[in-house]
Amino acid sequence: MKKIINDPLKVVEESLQGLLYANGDLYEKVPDACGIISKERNGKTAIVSGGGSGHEPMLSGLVGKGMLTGAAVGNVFASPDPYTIKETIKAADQGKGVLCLIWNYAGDTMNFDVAEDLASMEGVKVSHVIVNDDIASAPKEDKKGRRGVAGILFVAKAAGAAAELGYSLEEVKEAAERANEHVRTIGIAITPCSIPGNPPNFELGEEEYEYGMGIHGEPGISRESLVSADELTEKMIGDLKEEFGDLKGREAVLLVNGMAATTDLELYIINKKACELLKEAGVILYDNIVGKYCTSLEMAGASVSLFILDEELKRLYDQPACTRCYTQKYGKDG
Amino acid sequence: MKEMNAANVSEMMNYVADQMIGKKDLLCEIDGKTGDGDHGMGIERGFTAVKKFLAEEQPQTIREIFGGLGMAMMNSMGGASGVIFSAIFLGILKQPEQEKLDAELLRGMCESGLKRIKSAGGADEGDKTMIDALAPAVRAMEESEEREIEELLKTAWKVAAEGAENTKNYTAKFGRAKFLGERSLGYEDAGAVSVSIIFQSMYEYTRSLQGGKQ
Repeated sequence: MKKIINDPLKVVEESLQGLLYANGDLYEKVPDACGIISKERNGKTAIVSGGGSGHEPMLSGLVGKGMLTGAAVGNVFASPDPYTIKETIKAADQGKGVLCLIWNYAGDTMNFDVAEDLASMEGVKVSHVIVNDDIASAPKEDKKGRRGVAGILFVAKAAGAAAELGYSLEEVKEAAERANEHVRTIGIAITPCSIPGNPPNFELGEEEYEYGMGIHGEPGISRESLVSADELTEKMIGDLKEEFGDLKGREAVLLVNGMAATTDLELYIINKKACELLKEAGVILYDNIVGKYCTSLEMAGASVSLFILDEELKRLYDQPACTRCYTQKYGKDG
Repeated sequence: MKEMNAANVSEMMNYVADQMIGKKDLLCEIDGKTGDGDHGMGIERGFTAVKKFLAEEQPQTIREIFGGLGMAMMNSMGGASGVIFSAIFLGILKQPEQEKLDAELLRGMCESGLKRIKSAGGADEGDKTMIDALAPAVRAMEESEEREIEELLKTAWKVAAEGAENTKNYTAKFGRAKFLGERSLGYEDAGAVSVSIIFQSMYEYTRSLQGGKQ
């Protein structure tokens, strides 16, 4: 597949440098490691995430005031190594400890596991929460086996807000766990993606789509003939509702996330139907986010996340945040 | 050959690295059937770092060679395979310091590595992972009383290759392929194939030291 690159092995390094040039006001590079940290460090509990590249603007896009303190950047679709993660943890730490938010993939959990051991040996207090919001990847009974995808936005938002409010590492962890329990995502894909230097990693017929597709091209639940945007959205919202049970009167944030090749024009069509269906179900939409947040290289597709609020999560959601992915200038009440 | 000196071990691992790097496309292709198709790229990064370590650091002892190249792999590959594949060689750190590599030290290194891999990843035999090649190879090495290094490696390779072939019959339970369920049947696990090629390359090198033919 054609790509605008120099060398497949240098894609991440070169792209990260470009990102740093463009955002010198927001980030600093972690010395000697492929990671970035926020310039906004204020003596509070720090939050670090990390994962493979290819999902831009995530995860680096979540770094900034009120969300992540740092992000360890891996190669395309591959977890960063333990050294990179450990250095990012150390750079982010402000003496109050570091909470790691980890997408649930074998590579990420293993590398973070080693990195956390290394960081604690160097005196950093560190803990983690594993994000697993993708309902297509394992049944309800096996929530722990599910992958992490776009819903990490809300986990980072809650954890970051908790840290800003001065919560301890333990309390920030509780906030992140609470957010993870309250968010679910389902995605679809209509075209494949390819790792730079590789052929496409799956095939989809001209008239097909994959329901439940993962953000690395992992096969989903089923492959079907492409139907209209409204029918796709009905299926996605139906499965999300099924997860939560009765949502009548509940407040929620809806995120319609586009994979890189899907236009905003299409995303808003999905969003229109999703909003209408949720309103019909009696859901009170507290906020509605539409755009490209968690992508999968050049894949075309979309995911829908539903974040159900309770009093505590609403309080955290209302705190101000300023990152490339997500901005809430004065807080919801401000 | 019952013993190998550090210079030969270093040369052997450089040969293994060349062979692995040469298999990049094949490994990516196999991985693409059930995973995200990047296993070969991780292997290429890891073994390129191994070559660089051997050339620049000039490690002098068996422990420095395997320990150092294990760290080089862990800190360059990323992904699940970085932690897992480096563990095979980092198994040397649990063994007594020896001036030369013999069959006992090789067995011990692989045994400790396997133990660490099982505890880190939580996978076991039959889960369609590299363990399906490594575990039977380690078992065969334990059961064999062979003291000739090349013969021991030949056994490990044959058993590992069979183990890799058998992964076609398993449903993936770990890594990204697990999300495929039954759809992963019929394809080999790329990590298991890599284990087999590592043993094969080690065998080929020791064989060539003897002046023998492949």
